[in-house]
Amino acid sequence: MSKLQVTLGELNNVDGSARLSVGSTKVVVSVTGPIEPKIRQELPTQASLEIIVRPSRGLSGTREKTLEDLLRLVLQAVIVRFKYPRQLIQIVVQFLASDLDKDESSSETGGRFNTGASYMTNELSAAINCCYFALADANVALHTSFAATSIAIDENNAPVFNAELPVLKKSLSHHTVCFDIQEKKASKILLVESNGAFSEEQLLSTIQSASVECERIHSEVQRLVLEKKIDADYIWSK
Amino acid sequence: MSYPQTVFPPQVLSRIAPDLLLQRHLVQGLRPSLRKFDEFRPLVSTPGTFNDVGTNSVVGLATVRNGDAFAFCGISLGVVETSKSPEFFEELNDEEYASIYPVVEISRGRSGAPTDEEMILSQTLHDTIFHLKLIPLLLLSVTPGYQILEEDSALTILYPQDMGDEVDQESFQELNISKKNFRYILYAHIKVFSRSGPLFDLVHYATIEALKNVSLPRVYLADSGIDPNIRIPIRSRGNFGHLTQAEQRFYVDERKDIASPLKLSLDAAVSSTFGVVELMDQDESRSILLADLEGEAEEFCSESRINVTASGESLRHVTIIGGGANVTLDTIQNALQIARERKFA
Amino acid sequence: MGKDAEISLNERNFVKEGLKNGFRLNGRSLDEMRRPIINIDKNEYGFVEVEFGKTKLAVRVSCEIVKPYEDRPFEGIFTISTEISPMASPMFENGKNSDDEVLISRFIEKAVSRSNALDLESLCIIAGEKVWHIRADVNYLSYDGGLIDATCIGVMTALQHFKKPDVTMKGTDIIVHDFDQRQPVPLIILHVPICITYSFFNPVDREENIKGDANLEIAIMDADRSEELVRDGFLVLTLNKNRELIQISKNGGLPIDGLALIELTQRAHDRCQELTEHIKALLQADEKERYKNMNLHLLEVGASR
Repeated sequence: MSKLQVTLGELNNVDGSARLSVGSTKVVVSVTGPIEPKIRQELPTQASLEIIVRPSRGLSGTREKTLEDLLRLVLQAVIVRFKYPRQLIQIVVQFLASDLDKDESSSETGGRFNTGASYMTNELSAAINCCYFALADANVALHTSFAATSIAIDENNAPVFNAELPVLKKSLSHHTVCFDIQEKKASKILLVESNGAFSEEQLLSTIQSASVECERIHSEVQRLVLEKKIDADYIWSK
Repeated sequence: MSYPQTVFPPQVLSRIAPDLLLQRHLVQGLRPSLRKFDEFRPLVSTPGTFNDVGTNSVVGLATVRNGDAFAFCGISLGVVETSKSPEFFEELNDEEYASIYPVVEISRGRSGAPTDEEMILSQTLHDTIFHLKLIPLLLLSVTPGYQILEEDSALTILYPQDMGDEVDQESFQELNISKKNFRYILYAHIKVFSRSGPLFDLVHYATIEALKNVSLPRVYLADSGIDPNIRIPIRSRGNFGHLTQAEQRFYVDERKDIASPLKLSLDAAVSSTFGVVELMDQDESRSILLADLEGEAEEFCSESRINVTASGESLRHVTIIGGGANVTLDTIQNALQIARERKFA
Repeated sequence: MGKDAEISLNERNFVKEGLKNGFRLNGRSLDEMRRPIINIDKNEYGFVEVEFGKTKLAVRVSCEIVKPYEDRPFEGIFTISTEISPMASPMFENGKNSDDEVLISRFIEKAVSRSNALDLESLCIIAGEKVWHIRADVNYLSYDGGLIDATCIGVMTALQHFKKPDVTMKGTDIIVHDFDQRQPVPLIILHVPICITYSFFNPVDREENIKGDANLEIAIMDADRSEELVRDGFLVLTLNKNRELIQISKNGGLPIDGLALIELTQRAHDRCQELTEHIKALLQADEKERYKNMNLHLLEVGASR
């Protein structure tokens, strides 16, 4: 299982930022807000979200738009949006390295489909996790904590967390699961995105094991990083 | 003092308070469209052909209707040169599958750059069709024929696969001077009319139906009419060379009888979408599934969604969005159950 | 945090007054450049992160086999993309090419591509059919002035560090070898252009500047964000360590003394030498480390295996 490595607040011109690396995926997320929106973005009763996903190379296309959409579905459910009416929260997700850069840095793709571009589970889960830290760093109010993980079911029907691209390509199915976390327990499903061939039991058991993994991420990574931030941000009298 | 009570007709109420409208319907056990909670609108498909309309590259066509929404999907062909590294040939086996390049267009009486919804639908469709393992990649390899001008100035097209072993394959190999490999790629053009709810099910169904009646024509290389001996001199920074004009151009063989139907590896794969909403019923709330969302009120209120693409018992694609009403494992099982029992006309 | 690129009148005057007295708010002397911190990725080829004070960016070089342009069948293709997202600063809008962005991409294009820093003919595999397309993607993470200088350093370091897979020809077929099969090959870099930006300030009034003989204009090297917002004009010099000038660009703005240019170019040359050496040292250190980690010494003639 590859480790999540997180650093907070390395960027200067935004309200919050985080850098996360897991496996061969590296991503930086910045959060600016609440700021004044453009007229067409403004919502009268709640904050509007502008989510921008940028790939590590090339220009952003339909793949990035799809990632933006999935991220939006998760983030609009966890950000306390009524707290910032008529305001904008701008979230930029910049990938610096992905599976594609590692395993397909130069291959010719003409007429092939089984390429890294068809698998976005690692990128999606890394982006969701990184957004959590960046939002926390920007002090944006959240209803709950949330964590995501990526699971592949390999040829022997065994689950593999954060599988590398060659494993993903051979896997029977792959899943991205995001849970919200209340009282250190994974409670509500925020997102499940599954592809491949799988049975109902496999789907349900994957969701189960993902909830355990999300709890682990929360207790072993998220809490530690945030406690450190709180220690650094405030002066605590003994 | 008394005020006259304002009464809003349902159309107005659905715009100003969609959640209220939906709740009032649901308490009655009905949806605004008067369907039952787990009732799908019938999906009707009409296979169409463009074959009578002269030569063109549309190789598969379907028109699909779901309630008031229509979608029209045409599959067209392209040919690409495939890469050729030794490892790649080892890899190419029955286990590789292809996808399509879809362009979804939702007519709204406007033109211009594609909207986010169209882009996301296209990308999701591309990924889903790939992960469905629907189109075996081997079926898409192209063996081009050659048009040969015989001495009596008649044109004939020779195909390697038509010739038995006795014909000397060697001389044929010489024709294919470049020894390049080619493959068909499938483009899907999907046009949606009168959108009335989430579109993935409709677009997905239209694409699969169109793919089902795809037949791949043969292609051949013809004399381009340009003498390959004509060379155009090119100069670039001290270097000097020639470009030959014998560019390979593929022609589609019009004969339908020798076109081969595309055998998909699955009989059917259908996508079903459910909305999950919280129903306030006598002080207790429970979440219910609404099959096949329709209309503004339902689309707006069901922030939680479940999308299932299944082929028989096997699940191929599942998306669960749980931002709104709580999606429990029971809800998921329930949705899978309804999706499996769905009947088709 | 506000969106606008504006700076308050007080700050504007403060910066100017300081400069009049020979001080910069960031404590540097007038012709002092920030020292770039260049991080070369240990596991990949051609991925470089540059920290230039508080300006941060990441450059990734990648390659792909494509068909060349019709009129240039012997040449590979080289593109640089420099899109600035709101991550760098909220003053940049997403997807909207601001004037600043266009300017930056022009300067970099002239400095790197048009000066033939990368030998395009060496990227040709089969004339007229297959060439390498090398692309450098610059992603800006944080903005604090000096984007042009930092981009140029990043792109040139990444290009020198990048390696493309080896290709062998078999008749008309080409075989692209994996990194584990054959050692990848570096790009052919003909020279290393370095951009140095000067910003000009007018300490007196406009009339005095144009009519007077005093030539009091102040020139500072490598302005930061507040200085860039206050400056009256700027000059971009691109040079290399062979003491060659590649680009001089001063697009309007404050008129300056023509002869001052020679003085500025001289000073820029010294900076250019230092930077080139710095980049070279970093690349050599990285090369040495990889050599050791990949046990390449075993391939040497007479190595004890």
